Amino acid sequence: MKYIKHFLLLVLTAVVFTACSEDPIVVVKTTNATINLLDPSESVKITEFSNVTITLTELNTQEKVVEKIVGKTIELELNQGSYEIAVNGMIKYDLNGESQEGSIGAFISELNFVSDIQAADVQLSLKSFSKDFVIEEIFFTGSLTPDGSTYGGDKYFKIHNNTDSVLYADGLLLVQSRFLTTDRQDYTPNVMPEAFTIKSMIQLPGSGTEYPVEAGKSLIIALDGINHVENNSNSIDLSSADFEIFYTTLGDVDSPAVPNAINVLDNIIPHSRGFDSYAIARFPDGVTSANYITDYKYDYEWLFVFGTISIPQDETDYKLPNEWILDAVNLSVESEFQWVITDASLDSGYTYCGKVDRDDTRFGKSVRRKVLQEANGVRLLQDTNNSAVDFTPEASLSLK
Amino acid sequence: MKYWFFIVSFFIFFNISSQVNVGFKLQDSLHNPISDAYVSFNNKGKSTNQRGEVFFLVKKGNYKLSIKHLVYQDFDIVVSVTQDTIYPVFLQDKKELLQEIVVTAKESNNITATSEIDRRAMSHLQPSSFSDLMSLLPGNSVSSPVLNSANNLLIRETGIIDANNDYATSSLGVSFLIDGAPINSNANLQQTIASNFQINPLSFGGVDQRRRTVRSGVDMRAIATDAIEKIEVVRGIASAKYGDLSSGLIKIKRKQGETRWDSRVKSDGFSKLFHVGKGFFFDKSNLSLNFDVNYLDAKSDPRNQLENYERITTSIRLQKIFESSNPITWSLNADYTSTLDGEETDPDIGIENLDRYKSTYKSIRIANELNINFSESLLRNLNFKVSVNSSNDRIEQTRWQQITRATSLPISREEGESYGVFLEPSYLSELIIDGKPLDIFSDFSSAFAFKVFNIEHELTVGGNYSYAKNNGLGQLYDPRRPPVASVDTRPRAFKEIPALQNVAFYLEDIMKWSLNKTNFTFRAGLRGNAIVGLNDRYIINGKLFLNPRLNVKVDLPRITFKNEKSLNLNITAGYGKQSKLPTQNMLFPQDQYVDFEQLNYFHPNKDFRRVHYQTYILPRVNYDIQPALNLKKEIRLGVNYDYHSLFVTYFDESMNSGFRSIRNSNSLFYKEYDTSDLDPNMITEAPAVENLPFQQVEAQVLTTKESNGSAIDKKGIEFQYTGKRLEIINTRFTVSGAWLQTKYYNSLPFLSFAENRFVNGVFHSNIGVYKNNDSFLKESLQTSFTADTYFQKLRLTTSLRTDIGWYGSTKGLPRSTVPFQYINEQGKTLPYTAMEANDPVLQSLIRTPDGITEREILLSLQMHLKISKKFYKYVTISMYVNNLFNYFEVEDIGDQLVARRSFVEPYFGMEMNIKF
Repeated sequence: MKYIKHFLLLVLTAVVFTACSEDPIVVVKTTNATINLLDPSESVKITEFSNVTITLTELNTQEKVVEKIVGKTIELELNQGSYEIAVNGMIKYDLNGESQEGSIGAFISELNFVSDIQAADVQLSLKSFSKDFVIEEIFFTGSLTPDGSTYGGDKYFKIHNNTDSVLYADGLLLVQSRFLTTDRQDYTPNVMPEAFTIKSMIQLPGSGTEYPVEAGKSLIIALDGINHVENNSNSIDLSSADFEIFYTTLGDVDSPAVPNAINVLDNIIPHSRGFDSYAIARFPDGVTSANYITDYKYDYEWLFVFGTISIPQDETDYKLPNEWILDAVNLSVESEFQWVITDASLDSGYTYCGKVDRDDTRFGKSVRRKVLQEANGVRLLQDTNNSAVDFTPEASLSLK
Repeated sequence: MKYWFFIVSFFIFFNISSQVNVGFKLQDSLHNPISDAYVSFNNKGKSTNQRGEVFFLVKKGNYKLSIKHLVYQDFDIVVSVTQDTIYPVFLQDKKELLQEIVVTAKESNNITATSEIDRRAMSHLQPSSFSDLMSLLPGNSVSSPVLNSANNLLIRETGIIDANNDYATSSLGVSFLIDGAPINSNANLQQTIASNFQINPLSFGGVDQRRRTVRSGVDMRAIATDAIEKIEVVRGIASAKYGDLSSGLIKIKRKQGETRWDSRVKSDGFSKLFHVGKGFFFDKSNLSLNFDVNYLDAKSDPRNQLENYERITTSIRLQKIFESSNPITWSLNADYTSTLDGEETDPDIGIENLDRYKSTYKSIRIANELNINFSESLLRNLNFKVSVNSSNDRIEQTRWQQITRATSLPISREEGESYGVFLEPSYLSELIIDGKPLDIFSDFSSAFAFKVFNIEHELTVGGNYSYAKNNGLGQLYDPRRPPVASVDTRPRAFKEIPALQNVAFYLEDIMKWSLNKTNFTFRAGLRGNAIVGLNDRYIINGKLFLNPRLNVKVDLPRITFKNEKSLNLNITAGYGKQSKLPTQNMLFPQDQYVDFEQLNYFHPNKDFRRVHYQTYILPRVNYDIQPALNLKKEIRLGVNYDYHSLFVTYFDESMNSGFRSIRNSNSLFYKEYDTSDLDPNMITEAPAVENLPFQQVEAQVLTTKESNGSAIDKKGIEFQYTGKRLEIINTRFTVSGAWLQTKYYNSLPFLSFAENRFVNGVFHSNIGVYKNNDSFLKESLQTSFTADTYFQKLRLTTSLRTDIGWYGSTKGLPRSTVPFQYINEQGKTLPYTAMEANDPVLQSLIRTPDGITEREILLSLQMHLKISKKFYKYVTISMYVNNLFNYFEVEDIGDQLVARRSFVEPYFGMEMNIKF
């Protein structure tokens, strides 16, 4: 029993000694970090960092390190730890040989620097490529029925929000060209440098905020928003299309489940051999469909020549100023192509389904805009104003 | 003993009997038998057979014998008959009569421009159907037969591409008479719905569209030529005896009397033809019986078994002459014609093998004529004709329809509101057009001859009555499975259409007199036509339309030269009006259905789908319709010298009341139902219109109606020169041709909506009324040179024909751009002035001009060769090559030489004729 007292005293002394030791000196280790910034995709090569900063925030201490980026490789000395990394800024880059400007970003929520020397890759993404919608897909050939007849009710247009914020489809215009890419004529006056000559126009309904489209998402404008498989087993189901075009005099059907576009001018029925062009646009402030119809007509002449016969033709059509156009696509076929019918700044090439006129293989295929990058499940599509490189021709339907 | 008695009694019997069998055996100077000579003995006419023999049974006595033959001199003698004898007769060659052999058309010496085509020319031409004979008319070139579309006849005009049948009145207005009775096509209603259906992708025009003749008259493919003896084509002003025609008259006279067995087999690249015919003459009863059977099978392309035309014609003709002081001739003709047009798709290429078209016409015609000739009295002739034609026509069309989009369809047959249906995705559409036209024609005429003040008169007074009715079941098809996705008609029964009856009277006097060796002939005729039995709303009901027809011919005194040949000059001039009455289809056109969609609710769930319509039935009838009147003027100069003859005719015809469909405006209204209150995800049944709010909408639509809105003005010069057959080379040269100028234009204003009806987002329905719409001036100059050689000893006939189209031109004259009136949206017609032209909505009625089209057709030349040769006694073998040689003038376009080539290929054919 006596010895228990001594033992306890000894333990107490040991505890006292050990409890009251000094805080250990934490040796702060650093990392020679090399951060490699990766180009957004194979086709996008960054040439210049106009104004890009990288912000590294240590998650525990909330210490921020902000550096201006001048090159693709950044050497930093960082305290080891866990960091949140964000990159933001304006760059210049090279896409298919052309120089473009854009903004990029990157965000990594946690990246651990725990070694003395460490390299990390940070994948950069273009933040937004366009300022508004782009035409993503045009299905204009129709499909074949099992017995080989043609079926054209399932044509559709797919419009994509190619920006990084929500856009509203209200009031968006879809137009069809008057001229054909397979028939080049000298039209006097030639308004093409300033405007796109159109034959038909539809406008999506809405007061301004009724039809939002998230960044990277698309909407479908169908000729008939119905399940076409009922009529043609080789076709597709468009009953969940976002909009449909209903033109009452042609025996057309109106699905109550799909909102109708407003027919401003004539009726859009895509040329099934792909000889015309399409654009999406928006009216500027002050222009409505009512005053567009009265104010934007123009007269022009051309000479119809057939052998030795020449007949001067006088026509009147509508023009859509190039500044209003968000995106334009020319369609044609190689064997018949004569010219693009939009100004080169809107679209300098054409895309196609079928290489010759009445190519039997064209049915059930569409033209689809190429994907530039896919980041976080959000697709960014390529738009260099040249359909010949921006689109995949004779592609399989995205809805099939 | 008994045997001897029998012989004696036989001889006694024989001598007591007063009938004698007389025979004649005709031979030429070389003792060759002469066949086909016409021998008249005791007023009975017969032809000699292969051995040159002909027999008559007569009582003993003296009779006149008269022998005629094309190549031999006439032989007349009185023969005394006492016993059975066979007399040999030798006939002399008459070289001059070779001049009578003409293998082209002849301009007749008639009082108006007429082309005559005789049996010899027809045989030489080797035709498949009547259309081939028309290449002999001045201004027409030889062309290969087209047997997969209707052949309508154009007289004195260039022709025009006329998809809407706006200018078809020209061919509708050609009347075809077969042995005096006209082919009446007024009750022909055979046409399908949906014109653009094509089966054979290489064909030109829709399957039915290019075969139907509802608005264009007679299809010449159906007329076989082997039974025809002679054709007269009256291009000028027809006699007042003939009516219901505007352009011209074709008189077909078929063979009558005894003939040998005649058979023909013809084969060419596209067809086969077989014919057999014979004429009998029964002495005892003075009765002649002729029959003909003809079969034709043609394909548009010999490799294509799927498109063909078949024709079978049979004809039996009886003629009996009753002997009395005034010979009475009674004729009875029975004809059966069956034609078939068929087209189908290749069964091996999948499901489209179900597309099929077949159009058949089966007609029976019975014609009866009684003719009495009086010799010496004031009354010279009484004639009574009746003909009844009953036809069974049927079109059967099967079409596989695969819809190209989901489509809605109205099916109500009544006016008013109704629910429609949505078309099945794919279905077989079957259409039957069943027509049974019945035509009855009767004509009674009397002729008087008398002389007053040295002027001979031949006065004909008569009248006729025609009846046309169609008793067919009409259009038969399931309205839910129409031949085309959008139809503006509903099935119609033909037997409900009232009959078309017309009566006419005519008065014609042919006056002849001479003055100082100049002979004058003046034919003055007046014809009155009226349509009777119609509803009084028609302004033509019972109204008499008068057609004066005046022709004069002056035969100038003959000028005889030292060589004993004489020059004859004659001048003919004519002025006449010819009215073509509207057909049954034009007086009682099918109503047009206009359907407005009031609700279209295509729910994803089939059971909840609805489409609703307001249907209007708008008549196409025009109660103000008139007959098409063609005013004809012509003048002709004829020169005859020693078997050379030249005729030059200048003509000027104008018609501004031709038939066409014009547009008519209608102010209608309908409802627009609003389904925005229905939630498609919550509804439990298809919406009913009774529960939906609606908005009343006014609409103005354009429908069509019949009218007299087409004008055709024809001017031109026709010439025909027939030369003398030159003995040295046995060849005759013939030159014929025509310069034609035809103007086609609309004679009634044209209605149209604005080219762009959306102004300020609002859909407008103002209608502009424009004066000029379609207007074409066409011209052509054509000449044919024919050299035909007849080698009598070799029994060979050849002809070489060169057709030259010197030029052709088409000028499209500009259409009116500014309307002179407009119809506002309330249906009121108002003048269109400068004020309207400045109004933002109404200014869209100003049309864009269509420019002036000018097109020239360059020189083209084709040569055609025909050869026929007789072998043995019975057989003739002929062949022809059309387009043996072709030349086309080449035109320069920039640096490239482009030859304008029509699809002209050499076209061969061969035939064999056997006469025994």
